[in-house]
Amino acid sequence: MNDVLTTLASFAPNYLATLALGAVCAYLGIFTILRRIVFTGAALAQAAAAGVAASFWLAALPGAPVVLLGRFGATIGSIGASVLAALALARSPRRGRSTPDAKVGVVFAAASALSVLFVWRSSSGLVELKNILAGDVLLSSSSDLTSLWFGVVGVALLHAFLRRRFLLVAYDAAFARAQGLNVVVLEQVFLASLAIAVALALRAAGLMLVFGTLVLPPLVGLIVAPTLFRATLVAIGSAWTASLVGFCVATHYNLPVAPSIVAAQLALLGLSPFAGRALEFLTLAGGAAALALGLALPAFAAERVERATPTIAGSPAPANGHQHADPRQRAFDERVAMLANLSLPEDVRVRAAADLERLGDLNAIRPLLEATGDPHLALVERARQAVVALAGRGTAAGTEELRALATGPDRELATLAARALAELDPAQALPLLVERLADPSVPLLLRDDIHTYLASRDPDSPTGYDAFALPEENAAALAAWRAWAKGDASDPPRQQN
Amino acid sequence: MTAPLLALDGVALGYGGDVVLADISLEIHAGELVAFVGKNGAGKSTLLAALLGTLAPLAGTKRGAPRVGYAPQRGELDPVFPFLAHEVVAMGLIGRGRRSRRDERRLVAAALATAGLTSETDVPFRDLSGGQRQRAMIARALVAEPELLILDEPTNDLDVQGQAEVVALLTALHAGGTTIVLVSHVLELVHRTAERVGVLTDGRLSFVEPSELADESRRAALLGLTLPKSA
Repeated sequence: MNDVLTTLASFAPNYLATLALGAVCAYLGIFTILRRIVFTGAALAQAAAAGVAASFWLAALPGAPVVLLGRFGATIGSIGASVLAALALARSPRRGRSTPDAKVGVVFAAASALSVLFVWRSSSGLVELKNILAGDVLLSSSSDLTSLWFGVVGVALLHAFLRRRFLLVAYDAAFARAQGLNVVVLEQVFLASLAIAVALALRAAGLMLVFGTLVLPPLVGLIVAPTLFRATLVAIGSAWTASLVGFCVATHYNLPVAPSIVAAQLALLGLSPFAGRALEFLTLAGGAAALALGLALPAFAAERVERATPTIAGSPAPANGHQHADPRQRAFDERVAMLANLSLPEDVRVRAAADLERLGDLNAIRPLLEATGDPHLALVERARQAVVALAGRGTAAGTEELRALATGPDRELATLAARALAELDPAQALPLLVERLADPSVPLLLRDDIHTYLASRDPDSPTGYDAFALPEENAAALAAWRAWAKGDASDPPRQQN
Repeated sequence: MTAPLLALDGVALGYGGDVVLADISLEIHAGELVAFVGKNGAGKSTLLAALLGTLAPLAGTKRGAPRVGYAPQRGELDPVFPFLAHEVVAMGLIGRGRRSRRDERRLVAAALATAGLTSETDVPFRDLSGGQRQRAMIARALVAEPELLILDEPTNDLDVQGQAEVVALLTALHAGGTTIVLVSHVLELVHRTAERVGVLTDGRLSFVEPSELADESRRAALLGLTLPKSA
């Protein structure tokens, strides 16, 4: 039990975020089920995923503001796309032969196709998309969790003011219109709030958990409770109970968290036709216990932090072996350890690279650079994108750090740093990269990769270099490359890799 | 004579420039019970929308803006919503100014009492009988103390018992001075309750005495119906 508590305490922010997500999705899920727009929820989630994919596509375009897109692109893309979809799906005067259901189908199909097409040529984007669809709340970055909390508070405030109007519009639009309410605008505002909540929850926890929470706990509430108020309480209680059970089961049996929570939600739904009032009491008590535990976890974490080490699926202990009280530092250490752990699946390491970028700590530049030397293309691409985003962010400290590493004594690391620096400062980086072509201490494969990259920048670049040839065979080609670097390095790149 | 609560003078009504009803003139006075009848597609809903203020006239003028209570057709409500009777009635206060919870409870209790549903306050709306549900919807329309009560097909899909309950309620409300406008295709209801009957045919409105609806052939002629030939 202590082990479970210790692990839960290690992930207290993630656990609390799951409770926040559970509350907002269960509450909104009551609306979506009563209004028979469950498929709309799925379409909005898919639109949010398409928005994330679009941000990756944009970041890969030549001349794109990589740093800006890396920092805000996914969040803005997911919210923007899902809100646009919500506005498109809002109730409007019916035209032609289309039905509201068909409109949802069109949005879902379009968003699904665009999600894949946007990232098809970006292997790291595919991994990111897969992470969004499968998701793991334990791997959520602090910025994702912060955004989720802002979203939850925003939706809560909006619904505190407009809940009765939303309900009336959902229940009896003709009467609402006669009462002087603007049904179309209220419909759009409600769907926009659903879209924002789904988009932010999706970034933090993935499609499976979001969609499961949007449907399963509200169904429990509507089956078990006789009134809307009690159904809403039971729905939130069910979501929280399932979060607690799912987290504990996942921790104890070393299972992924999101499917464990969804399985617990399904178990509660399975009990609901038979358990009635007993289940109502159970979910309310379980929800209260889950919340109490969530509020107590930070204090528990502070007490246990010196003695315990978290162990959970996909998140090994920090490489440096000691535990930090600061959750942000702990998250940083965990992600660095995951990035360097070759036994972990590639997508977990890619996600760790993305998280390190989101954490915004410049100390991540070095481990991320080391990851750009990995044989897995998706990891290389994502890690380099993270380095560029971190080094180009805000102050000049990141770029200086990258410059220092590019000219440092470790030739392999220096080459990888120069390769990343080429995205920010080609005038300095390209001559350094050309020199690496002649450096025998740089691994052959890396030299070959650098040559491919340099050649891709300029269709008229020198030919004749072969990383696998003898040095004397490359002498002429290297001279041509040095001349090219003097003349071309300060020009803007014609084509980016 | 006192000024009418609501009047339309030479009004044209329609959607997107297409005129559905032309040259409509009518006056609704306080305490009246006026019914509108017509075939399907005759423009009853369009006229209701104009009286409710949710459809602006294409031409002509509308005078008066009484506080309106509205009871739409009962069949449009989804029984999946787990509302209690008093919660449904309280919806009539939404959009009608801020009130304290205490005031809201008082108004809802009064409206439920008027509709004869005091003992059904905490019963789920979907568990009420058809007649009780219709009375609850009339209570919802009454809860904000409107000057004009507008009812759309109040006896639609009701059994004989339900129809009798609604007719009794409308009769009582009218006797108490409530101004009522109703649209119905149940001519028996119109004949028994209305003081004036507006007949919508071919995009025009004309008024007749309720007694004229008693005769089948006169009724058919008024509504433009074709009666089957007897064998």
